Amino acid sequence: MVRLVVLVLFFGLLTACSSLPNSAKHDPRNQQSYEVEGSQEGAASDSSMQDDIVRLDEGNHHPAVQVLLTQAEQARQKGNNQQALSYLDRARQIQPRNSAIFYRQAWLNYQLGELQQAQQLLQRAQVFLRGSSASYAILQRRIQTLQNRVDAKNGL
Amino acid sequence: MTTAKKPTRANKSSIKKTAPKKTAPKKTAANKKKPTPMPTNKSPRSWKQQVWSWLWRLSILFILALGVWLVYLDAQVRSQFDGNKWTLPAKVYARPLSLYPGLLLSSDQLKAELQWNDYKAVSHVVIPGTYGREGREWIIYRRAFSFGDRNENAVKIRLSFAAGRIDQLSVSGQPEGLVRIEPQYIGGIFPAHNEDRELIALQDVPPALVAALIAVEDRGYLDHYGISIRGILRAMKANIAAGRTVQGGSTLTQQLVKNFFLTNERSLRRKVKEAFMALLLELHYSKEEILQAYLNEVYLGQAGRRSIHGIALASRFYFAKNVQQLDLSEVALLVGMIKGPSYYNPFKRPENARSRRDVVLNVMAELNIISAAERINAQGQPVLVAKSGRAGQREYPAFIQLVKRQLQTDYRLEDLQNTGLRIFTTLDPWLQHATETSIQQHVAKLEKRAGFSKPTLEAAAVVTSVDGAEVRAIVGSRRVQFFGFNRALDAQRSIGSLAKPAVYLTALTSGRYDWSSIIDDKAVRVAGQDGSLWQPQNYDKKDHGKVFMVDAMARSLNQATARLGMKVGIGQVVDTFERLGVERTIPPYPSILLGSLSMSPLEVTQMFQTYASGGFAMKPRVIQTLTTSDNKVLTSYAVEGRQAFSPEMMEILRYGLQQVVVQGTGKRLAQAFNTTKIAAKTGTSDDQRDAWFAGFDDRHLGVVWLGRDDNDPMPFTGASGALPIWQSIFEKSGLEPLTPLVDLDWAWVNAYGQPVFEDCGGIRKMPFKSGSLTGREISCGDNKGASGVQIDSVEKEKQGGGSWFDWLF
Repeated sequence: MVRLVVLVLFFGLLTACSSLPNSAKHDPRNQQSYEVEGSQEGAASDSSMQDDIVRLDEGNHHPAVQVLLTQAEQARQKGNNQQALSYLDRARQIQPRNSAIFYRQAWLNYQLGELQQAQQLLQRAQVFLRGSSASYAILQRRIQTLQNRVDAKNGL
Repeated sequence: MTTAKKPTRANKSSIKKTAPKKTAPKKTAANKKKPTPMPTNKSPRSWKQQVWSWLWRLSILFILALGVWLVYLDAQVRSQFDGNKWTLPAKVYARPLSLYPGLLLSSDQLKAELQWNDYKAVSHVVIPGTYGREGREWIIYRRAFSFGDRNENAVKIRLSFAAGRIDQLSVSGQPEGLVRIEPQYIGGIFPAHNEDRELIALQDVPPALVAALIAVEDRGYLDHYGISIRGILRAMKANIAAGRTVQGGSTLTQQLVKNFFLTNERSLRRKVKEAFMALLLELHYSKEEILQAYLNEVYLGQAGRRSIHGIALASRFYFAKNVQQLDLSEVALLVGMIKGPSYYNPFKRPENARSRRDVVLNVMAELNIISAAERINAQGQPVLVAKSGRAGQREYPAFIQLVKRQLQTDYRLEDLQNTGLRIFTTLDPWLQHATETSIQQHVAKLEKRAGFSKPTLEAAAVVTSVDGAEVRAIVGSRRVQFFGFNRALDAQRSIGSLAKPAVYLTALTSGRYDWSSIIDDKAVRVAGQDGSLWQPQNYDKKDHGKVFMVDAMARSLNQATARLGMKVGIGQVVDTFERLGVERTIPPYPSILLGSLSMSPLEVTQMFQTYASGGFAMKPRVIQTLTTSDNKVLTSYAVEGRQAFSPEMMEILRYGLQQVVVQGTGKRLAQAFNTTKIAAKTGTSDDQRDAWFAGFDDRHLGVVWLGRDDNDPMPFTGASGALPIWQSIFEKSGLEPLTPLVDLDWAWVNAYGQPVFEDCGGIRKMPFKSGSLTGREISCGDNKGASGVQIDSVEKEKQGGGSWFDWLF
């Protein structure tokens, strides 16, 4: 929790992004996810080279969402993809407009060969992609990369 | 049974052999007396002989038939008793209540949800299923539960609130990001006879209950072989003494056989069958197995359409407890109720229940199952039953019907009814409660106002989440618990002005209109091909002249909307309906522009969902996860839906829907909620036969319908009839003002609908598609002349359009 607050402040300063009204600050619905661990300044730009996610629980998220992403990643590693998807969907219900979650849902669906579902989820990831932080740029590139792959497969 | 069979077989053979021997000596004696055998003398003997031999033959035949029948019964008993004895209805659960820091949650809701879920408020929270409060801190001992995605152990949750949100959350002493309360059981999908039960193993049943059962229902249970002659004699004696049937002579085994294999028919034939089957059952199965089956089979009451079977379900149903948690008084009551679940129903006839309980306790004390002190103590207790309105006791018929319908597209009905599937749904009990009470309160209030002396109005409502189209609440009738006609799903009613946003959306997507466009609200008449004339009027029967397009929608002007719809083209409007997710075929008649088309509240929800979700067309969804009875996930449903409109277009449309609340037919809401960030539309069909209200905030979309089943007019409009119900639902469940989907460009607009630079005679600020204002904004001084021409040209251009409609004015 403390780490998150520090991180939020850090990015707040970094990007001068303070669009959230004070009253809504605690609402998880309005909190953003950060695609990369931002403990050091250099880390963000290093990771930004990476346009593909490796694990579902990458980055920094609202604590409740983080719990679910971790569980989803554990389930995925055990090969239990259905379960992983259901954790992701629970995360989505907590933050129904979090682009990072839609991206992860799309990513996993893509891995499972569910291209149509991946496509629809990517649309949502794009619609709800907001903000202007460094993390935003990474997520945007990741969404684009995945979109290109889905398009390529669909083209085949 | 073998012992019963063997003697008959032995008789058979001895009969055959001895029969001729018996008659032989008589014959010889006769022969001695009368050497010449006379036919007259011989005939009576052979007549007797014949009768005997026929009797023997008949009895052999009878015994053979009996044998065959017994073999048949035996097969029947064994095949039904082995393996799955019961068809287990699918269990349906609400959504679990997820708790996490930052969650907007009232303590009222938390308390209600815990209580509905059979959590008991206690001062010391030491066992699962209890909760307590210490100042601002809540302690909840969550039960172990197999959620749809995984099993979770019982845990102690601590949480505190700050400013209406969860502030601190810890689980088992450790700070935690997320934890959930197990979902409420909200009903089952039952086979035709609606039997509901929970299975329990004999070792989990308290010994006192088993002892009480045997003591009261069948004292000789452990000694007899399925039927008890002594029991029958005792019952006969008691019945003769009383002059009527006061006691049954059936053993537990016979009762089980009757319930399990036979009908309720009262005939000798059935009684005989029952006796034989009881003997066969005892032959094949142990006393324990039979007892366990009895405890799971026994009928213990009725809850609406649902029949309560088995002590496990009954214990939850009547006392909101596990069987193991029952106290002596409750055990005695439960056992006592077997005699007459309706007559001794503790909800409806507490006095009967109480005296029956005391009788059972007396018997238990007589047989030294309990001590005199225990008896006195238990008899001194009041008959306490669990509150109604809890999970597992009340039902959600409209929701369950939708669950069943959605599942039947993927699963066979038999599997849903038989195999004990677990269905995790999207129902939000708190919202459901808010919706039910809002409908009940307001329908009664409206009837009173209208002076209806008897129930006349009906209502239905659907509430979904805006982003995922998860159905959170659904009510299909003012009688919310009634399994009957589900108006939310099946009432096809004229949607009136709820159609209008689709007309305006068509205009906006055409690229030729903005909300600032000036449209004409002059009277309109359209002749159809068949010569019929369509001439819609405004609700106030007035013409409003030239108006901003947004005002025409906010004020729900019929003439302006009809004109606009004719201009953009009916075919285009029909296309928009389709894009929005309307699945039925819409005929391209002019009258559809004003909602002369019928839809169910659920269909309306699906259409408005696209507005609410920011352009994603989705079917309202009730199933989250489906698992087998041993928790293997069969299907997990996730958010789906194609993007039908751009979020920007939806944001523009939302501005129009918000104006309904700012200045239009939904103005009341702005005052009530102290915000205008609500998107909504009222709808009233011809002659006020239907009143509709559809609206959404940042979390939920609600659609409310009010009308009469006989489709007669009523003195209410969408704003006066349906809006108050919607308002009440959102007041009870909490309203979150809308947040924008995208940023739009805003500009001042002059009286001619043109965007102007600031301080250049603008009268209203309105949104435009981002980038669309470039070069359009007019600077001070040159705005007047051009504008009028522009509007006229739009009108003229479209008026010339050669459709099959004739514009008369």
